[in-house]
Amino acid sequence: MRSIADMGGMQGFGPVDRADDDTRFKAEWEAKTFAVNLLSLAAGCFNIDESRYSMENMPPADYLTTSYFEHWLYSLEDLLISKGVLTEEEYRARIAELTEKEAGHAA
Amino acid sequence: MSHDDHTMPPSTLALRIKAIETLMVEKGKIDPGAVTEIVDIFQNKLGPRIGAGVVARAWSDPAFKARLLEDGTQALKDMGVSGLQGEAMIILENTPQVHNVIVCTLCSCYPWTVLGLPPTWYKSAPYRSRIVIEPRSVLAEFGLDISNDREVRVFDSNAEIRYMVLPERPAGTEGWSEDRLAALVTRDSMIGTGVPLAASAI
Repeated sequence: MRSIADMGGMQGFGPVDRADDDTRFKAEWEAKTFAVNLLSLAAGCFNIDESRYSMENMPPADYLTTSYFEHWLYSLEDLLISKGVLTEEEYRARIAELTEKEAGHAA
Repeated sequence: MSHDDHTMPPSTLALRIKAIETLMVEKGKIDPGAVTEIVDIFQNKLGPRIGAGVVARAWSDPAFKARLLEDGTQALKDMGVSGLQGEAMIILENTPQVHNVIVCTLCSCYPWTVLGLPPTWYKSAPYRSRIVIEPRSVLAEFGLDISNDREVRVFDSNAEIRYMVLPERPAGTEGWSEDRLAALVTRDSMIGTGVPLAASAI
């Protein structure tokens, strides 16, 4: 099956938005997602082919409605958990903990 | 984790990556501080000025240019330009007969070592989908009118091979120093969606 990421030759996406010429990360989470991906790759948690394959297998509707670095975050979560580097439980628990901490700061 | 059943907690993107980062540091998979270092390298140290230096040198030194076109990876390594996403580099020479342009239709593969990170449009669906089927129209939108008797070649980058365009040297720059020449080399001229500035521009 052709992946949604295999965009060469697809039609209907409209003109190239050249005004969006920025090369810098637009938010801190983008920069971190990029760096943690590279460092996980360097640490041997997964290889470049697995990384691409994971991103290309993102559900098509999600792929089209999420931003570029969200694709990276998706594949990072997918690979670290499927390869057992992190467990889903500890990941969820950490998110819950950070959410609570953040709410505490805001209060 | 199954992404397919949408069981992901509706956390913000910032919390998700922070959770991963802190867990990876605790597990000793990544060094504390390494994230900041990587971001600094990509945001502040790498960038198209490196590629511009390579182009200017190729314009000035025919022997270097020959080596660069013969084995881009090695010629760049000899200049001290190498690293991630630059492991296999092919340099594409623009000529009066041929105009080259690069893309990564599948994601965003880009010659990081010479150009830094790609602009947003390079990663966008319109560029990735259209440049391979209607390159002349897309290039026209970038302000480049390629005459019909000139061949347009589109190179689709991949995880193993990265391309960079060696644009044509602007007229009227005979005898210029490499530094002065480099100032004419734009990022887009090395992607192939632009041409260098004219000699009169600086």
